[in-house]
Amino acid sequence: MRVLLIIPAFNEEKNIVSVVRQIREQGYDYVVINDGSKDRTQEICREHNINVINLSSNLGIGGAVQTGHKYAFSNNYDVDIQIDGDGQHDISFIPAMLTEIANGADLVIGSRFLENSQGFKSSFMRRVGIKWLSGLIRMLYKKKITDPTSGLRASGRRSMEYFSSNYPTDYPEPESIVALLKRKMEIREVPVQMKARFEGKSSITITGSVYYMIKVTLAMLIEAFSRPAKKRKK
Amino acid sequence: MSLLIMQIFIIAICLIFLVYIVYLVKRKKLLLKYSLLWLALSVVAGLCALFPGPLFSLAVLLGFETASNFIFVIGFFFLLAICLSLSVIASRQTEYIKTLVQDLALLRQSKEDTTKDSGSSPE
Repeated sequence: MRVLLIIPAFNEEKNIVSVVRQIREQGYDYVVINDGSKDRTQEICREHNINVINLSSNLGIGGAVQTGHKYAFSNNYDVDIQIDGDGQHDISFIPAMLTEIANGADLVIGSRFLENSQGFKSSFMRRVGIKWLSGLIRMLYKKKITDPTSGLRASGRRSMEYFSSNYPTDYPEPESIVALLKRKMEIREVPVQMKARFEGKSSITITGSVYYMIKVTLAMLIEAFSRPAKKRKK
Repeated sequence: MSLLIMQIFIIAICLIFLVYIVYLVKRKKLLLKYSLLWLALSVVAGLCALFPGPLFSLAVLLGFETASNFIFVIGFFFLLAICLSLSVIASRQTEYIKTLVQDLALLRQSKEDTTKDSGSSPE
């Protein structure tokens, strides 16, 4: 199974080298998507001979991750795994995720909230929001996704192909889960442990979170209730 | 008499507007497909100025106290429609630009890959 790790990076000059070092030690293929960083991310990647795709302007996390899916799909990888460029995600959980893909899952989510998950679980308010999104998905598709906002996700060929042409821009994870469920794809979760960030700030601020919840909820509902566009031409 | 002056005034404005739109299209500063709405607006406004009768009776029919209120309401909704269509256009272009940035980046990356593979620069 050919596996590619997709590492979206926006202003991650402090973290990116150590993240990539860990991945290299494990021998995975990877690609860093530099999402128009304003800091020295691009130069640092070049100095350390890191495999990087430089986006000429900042597309946001969705646009960056989608670039990775496109790269993985056109380079015939069987699985791509999205992993944060800030060191929150532990790559030792990757084999468990790959096992689920091999067992037929289209998308495997690394979840912080399964019974046997441990470690950093985000703030209380954040957890309330996650519960809400999780409940919404369960209501719409009778499917239990405990961690819909997790940014540690493995995609198989089918979801990779779908994501290459359809991926939301702003806060893409929950909405893309709905899109896959709607297309009858198989989503599974494995327990993972996440760390608090090494350096820098999370992309979601407290002031923005109400706006975030409204937007994501709306996006999920629209996605769920619109008729699937069959083979829409780009 | 004052109505006649107003009619002439509005018709003149509509004509100037019409000519300006055509000029913009000709100079390629405005795409033809986005000009149609504006052309329609100036033609309709011009016609209303030429034959104000139907406009007044329609305003009365719909319960507007004065014809001018009726015109303001129509103008307001017309502008709303144009604003919405501009949002649609902006969204579509955002999508185009996103795809463009992604494909450019992928292309640049694959080009660097092939120059590496040709053996000029060792890992």
